[in-house]
Amino acid sequence: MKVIECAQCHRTFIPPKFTCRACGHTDFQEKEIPEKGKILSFTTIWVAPESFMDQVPYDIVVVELADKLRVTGRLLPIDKKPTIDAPVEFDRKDEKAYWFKLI
Amino acid sequence: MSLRSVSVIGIGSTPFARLEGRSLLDLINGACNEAIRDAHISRDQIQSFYLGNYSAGILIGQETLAPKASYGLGLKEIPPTRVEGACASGGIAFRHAYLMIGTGLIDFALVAGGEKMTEATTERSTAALAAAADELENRCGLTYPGAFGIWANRHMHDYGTTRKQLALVSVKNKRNGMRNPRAQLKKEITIDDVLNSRLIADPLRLYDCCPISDGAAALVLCPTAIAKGYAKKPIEIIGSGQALGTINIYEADSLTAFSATIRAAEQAFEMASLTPNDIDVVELHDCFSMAEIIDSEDLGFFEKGKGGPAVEEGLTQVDGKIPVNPSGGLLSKGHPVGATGCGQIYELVKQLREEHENQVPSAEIGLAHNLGGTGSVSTVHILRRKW
Repeated sequence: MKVIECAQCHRTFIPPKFTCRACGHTDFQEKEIPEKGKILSFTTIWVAPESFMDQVPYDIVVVELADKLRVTGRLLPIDKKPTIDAPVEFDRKDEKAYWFKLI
Repeated sequence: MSLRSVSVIGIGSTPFARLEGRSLLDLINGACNEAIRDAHISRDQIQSFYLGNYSAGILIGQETLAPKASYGLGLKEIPPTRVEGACASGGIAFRHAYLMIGTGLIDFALVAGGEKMTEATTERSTAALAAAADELENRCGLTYPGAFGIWANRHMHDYGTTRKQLALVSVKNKRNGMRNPRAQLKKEITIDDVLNSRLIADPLRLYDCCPISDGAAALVLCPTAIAKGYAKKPIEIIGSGQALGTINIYEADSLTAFSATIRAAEQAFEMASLTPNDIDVVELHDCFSMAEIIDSEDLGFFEKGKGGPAVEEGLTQVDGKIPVNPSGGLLSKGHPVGATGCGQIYELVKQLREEHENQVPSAEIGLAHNLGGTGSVSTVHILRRKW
């Protein structure tokens, strides 16, 4: 899974970032991290903004990846309710969001 | 540096409701004129104007609000300033007026917070709400109820907070709001009403969420040393804090606490030389039932994780150990975004003047907590009766 890291202290971030919050550096470079993570929390949206209405209900998850990097993303629709600590795998990133699937 | 002591000598507010046909400037004007009359000053005495408004640009296509509101109020050539911090805009405006007088630069300031939301198209409303949130989270299709649903699910997992405890917050605040003529939603509801209401974002239901609203609230401030010349019951500002939090969920250190609140509260308590035990009445940011529970912990009234049981034990009722949102809070009053922070000060001043419709007995020291966006910025103010 592609993320970015600070060119100075190597802390990882989800782009875009302008200044590294850890050390103040302003240069970043791409980094590949493992695709496995776990769910820290979630919700299921039942009342959505207009452009998302046709997807209702849909799950949003906060996933913790390697080095405690976290991201908010979508869960691939599945007949199982997300639960905290459930293992997930990065599926893809499209122009909308980072997508994960329960494994 | 040390600041001069500053007091609130005048308050004004419109109802918070669907105020059809009333424009934003009309609402601000109404609240401000009431506060000016309440303060027994002439408008020529006002030396600075601060306005909290979140999103008039998107909602009603208007900007440059502080000059427009000042002008409409007939104020002289004083500095007009608008501040924005999402739902904390009102609290931030109040703080800056306080600091301006505290530093000795001026003696009289007028503060207002206002928002006009209910007559905007759905498209504009959606855009306005999304504007405070993180872009990546918006692109996921996350909503505000969704964000608080995420915090709720984690809080319930870590501390055993129950849906019943969430529902009890809504029941309490709606009951408190029944006595408040300024509140939008005045309806006695039961736990079952909440638990059976429409699911918005798991686990939050319709009655776990505050309504959108129109409204404005205003305050007049002056140095405490001269306040008795204007108000029978001056209310002194003894603590003020403002802090940055996080602008999205995934970069927050904790999924069960708002760092912005914790930091703003630290500043305010330190300035006042007080602890949470000293507070008699609280108006905190209950945009959702879950928010009240988290806020009550972050502000130090209960240990982290004990906010839910506290509600269940009745500790936050008007006659409880630490009355929270006797005004009805955002859940009952509604949340005209920019107005809320100033509305909270209005309600607290009434409590500390012993003139509130839902009076907490012997309230001497009050705390107001305002929280913007998804924990992005917070203000905390501590007020004390000075009469």
